[in-house]
Formats: sequence, structure tokens, C-alpha cells
Amino acid sequence: MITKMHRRMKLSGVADEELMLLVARRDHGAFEALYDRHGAAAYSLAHRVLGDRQRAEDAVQETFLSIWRARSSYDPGRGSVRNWLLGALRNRAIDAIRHEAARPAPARGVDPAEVLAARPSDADTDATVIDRETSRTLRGVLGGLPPEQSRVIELAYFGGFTHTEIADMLGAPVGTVKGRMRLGLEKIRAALAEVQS
Amino acid sequence: MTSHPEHDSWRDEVAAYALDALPEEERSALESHLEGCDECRAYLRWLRPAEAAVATSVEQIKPPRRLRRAVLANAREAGGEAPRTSRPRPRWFLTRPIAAAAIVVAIAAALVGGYALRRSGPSTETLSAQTTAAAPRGLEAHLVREDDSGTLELSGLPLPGRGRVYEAWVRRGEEISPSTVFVPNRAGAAAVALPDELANADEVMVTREPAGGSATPTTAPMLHVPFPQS
Repeated sequence: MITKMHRRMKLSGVADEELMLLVARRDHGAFEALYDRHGAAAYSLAHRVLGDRQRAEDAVQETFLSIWRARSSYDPGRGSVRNWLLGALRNRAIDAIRHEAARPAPARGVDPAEVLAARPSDADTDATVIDRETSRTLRGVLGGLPPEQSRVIELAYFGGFTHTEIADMLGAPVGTVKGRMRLGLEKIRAALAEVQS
Repeated sequence: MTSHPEHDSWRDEVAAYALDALPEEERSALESHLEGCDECRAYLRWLRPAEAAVATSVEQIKPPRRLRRAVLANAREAGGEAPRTSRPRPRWFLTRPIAAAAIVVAIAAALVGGYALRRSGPSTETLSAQTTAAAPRGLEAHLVREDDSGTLELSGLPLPGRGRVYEAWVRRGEEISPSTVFVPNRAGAAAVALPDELANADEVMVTREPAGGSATPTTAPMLHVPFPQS
């Protein structure tokens, strides 16, 4: 037990990129640390995209299992480990909804056992608190965009719609929609530079 | 970030690509272009943190304990080791008296309050929505409330139509305040964050509105989520 705790403490100081090298060598402790660092952010994003907690859990499980099986390899070109992991998760979630016919979900009944099992973790770690602060800051950045720009970004990223589908939905020309995406992303990028400076 | 004028026409494509919003043919064309264009690749790299910021901007919610157990158990099984972490219990599996007592309390609260109330943590409750005649067939929704924030989860919601969106509202007595404007994903589901807006609220409502949203509701609500009054 002491050895396990000691190892967990050691891993807490390891950078994400090194953690990924250990995961590639099938290190269970490193994999556990990876989940503890990014599992909550992954679950939150999956829930936002899929709109359903059970399906969000499925997407997170599939994404982490894919990482473990080395079917998803970390690509430093996509930025940080977290950004890469969230990108992989988002693509998996969008693939799921793109292949699903729009049909009503099964009726939701109250299943007390499920409710109890679904209680959130007690551990409100520093990482979670930081995540909440970061996400609040970033929501502020997105909220500062003109609504027509944030709308097309949200429809594309969280809804999985292409620019032609969004143009049809909003009754706007395709070129306008793409232009709004670009302007919106550029403003977010510029705002990030200010936040980080 | 500056660029040569000839690359400007590609920049809209690169931004849509970063958001995964290009149809297949355009995506292939852009990827071919990216292979030979340092400037567009640099522009894509420059945009990536913005895409990541969108991902990280979502309301952060705690995952359930069972998810961690399941993720680690999956890895152990895939790695050929005997699982050291117990598998998630079947939904019907309950042995601890405290858990059983919690169920009784939850069911009693639902019966007394007239709500499908699900306790999912010390300050979290799940409230069922009541749909109206204006609701599309198959619409189901509930609101997960955590203190003064909440997430409205909807399913069976069709796209709102050209130039239209859905809008969530918070009602306090006679006052109705606009909240989040949203559309469902293509599977008809949506998770709508209502951050720090639910203090002293009587209910949350959803209407269909013109694109961009409205300052006051212009159509009849399709659903209500009334809050138990203490």
C-alpha cells in the first residue's frame, strides 16, 4: 500500500508527455494518473457533446481504452496531451452522433441503484478546481464573441455539423459561415494570448 | 499572424477544418494543400489552442466514481492482468443498509414532492421536466441542479428549423429572464448549461425562438422544469 502511495506521489510530479511514454509501456500507474488528471475534463466535454451522462461515460471509457491499447497515439503536433486527448474524445463522440439516426431516447425511469452508483466522486482535487476556473475563464472568452461567431463555432464543435449544414440551418451563405468561424477562432486565439501574458 | 494574400482564401477553410466542419471532399482538398503549404500549416498550428479552448470551456462536472473504476478495470483486462479494481456493480446490486436507506429517502421525496427526484450527491438533484402540447413528440428532458447552477439534458428534440433556435428561460415569479440559446446535436440531444442562474428560481422553461434568441419568449414553452419550493 505504501509502495503504491509512494509511486502515486512520484507520478504526480511527472509531466503529461512523460506519462504518455509510460502509458505506451503499459504502466498501469501512469494510466491511472492520466485518468485522474484528465478524466473529469473528458467526461465534461463528452457530456456537452452527447447530452447524456451514460453515453458520456461510454465515450470516455472507449477513448481511454483506445489510448491504453495504443490505437490512439499521442501526437505532439496537436499540442498538449490534454488537448490531444480531448480532441480524440470529441471526434469519437461526434462520430457516434453522426452515425446515429435522430430518434427519441428510451424512456428514462428512476432507477435508485443507478442513481446511487452515479454519484459524483468525492475527490474535489486541486486539478478539478483549476479546471473549473479555467473553463470559467474560457467561457468568458467565448461569451465575449459576437453571438453569430460563437453560434457557428458551437454548432460545428459540439453539434458536429458541417459548414454547409450550419449555413442551411441559419439561412446564411456558406462563405459567411466559414468567415464567422475564422473570425471567431482568431479572436479566441488573440484573447488566449492576452490571458496567458 | 500575417499572411500572403494568396493564402487568405485558404484561411476560412483552415478554420473550418480546425473545427472539423468541412465536408469530406473539401477536407481532402485542404489536406492535400496543407501537405505542401508551410504557411497554412503554421496557421493551423496557431489556431489549435483556440479549438482546445472551446473544448475546455464547457461546464466542468464531476464524473461518477464508477467511471474511474471501469476505465482502470478495462485497462487491466486489456493488459492481461487480473483486475485489481472491482468491476462496476450491476445496477440492481445493493447490499449496504445506508444505500438502501438513501433509496427510501429518495423515493419518499419524489412521492411527497410530486417530482421525479433523484439524489446524486449532497447538493445535486435531478428534476424531471413537464412537456406541454407545444413539445415535439418524443421530447424528454430533466435538469441536473447543483446549488445555483444546472444542466438541462434533453433528448428527442428535432432541429429547430431554418433561422430558428431553442432558448432556455429562468422564471422568478412574474420575471422571465433569457438564459442559454442552443440547438440539439444531430442525434436530437442537448446538454444546456445554466451556470449561476438558478438562485430563487421558480422554474426553467424552453421555447423555440428566432436565430440569435429573444429578449422575451415569443412562442409557448414546450417544457417546464418546476423547482420544489422550500
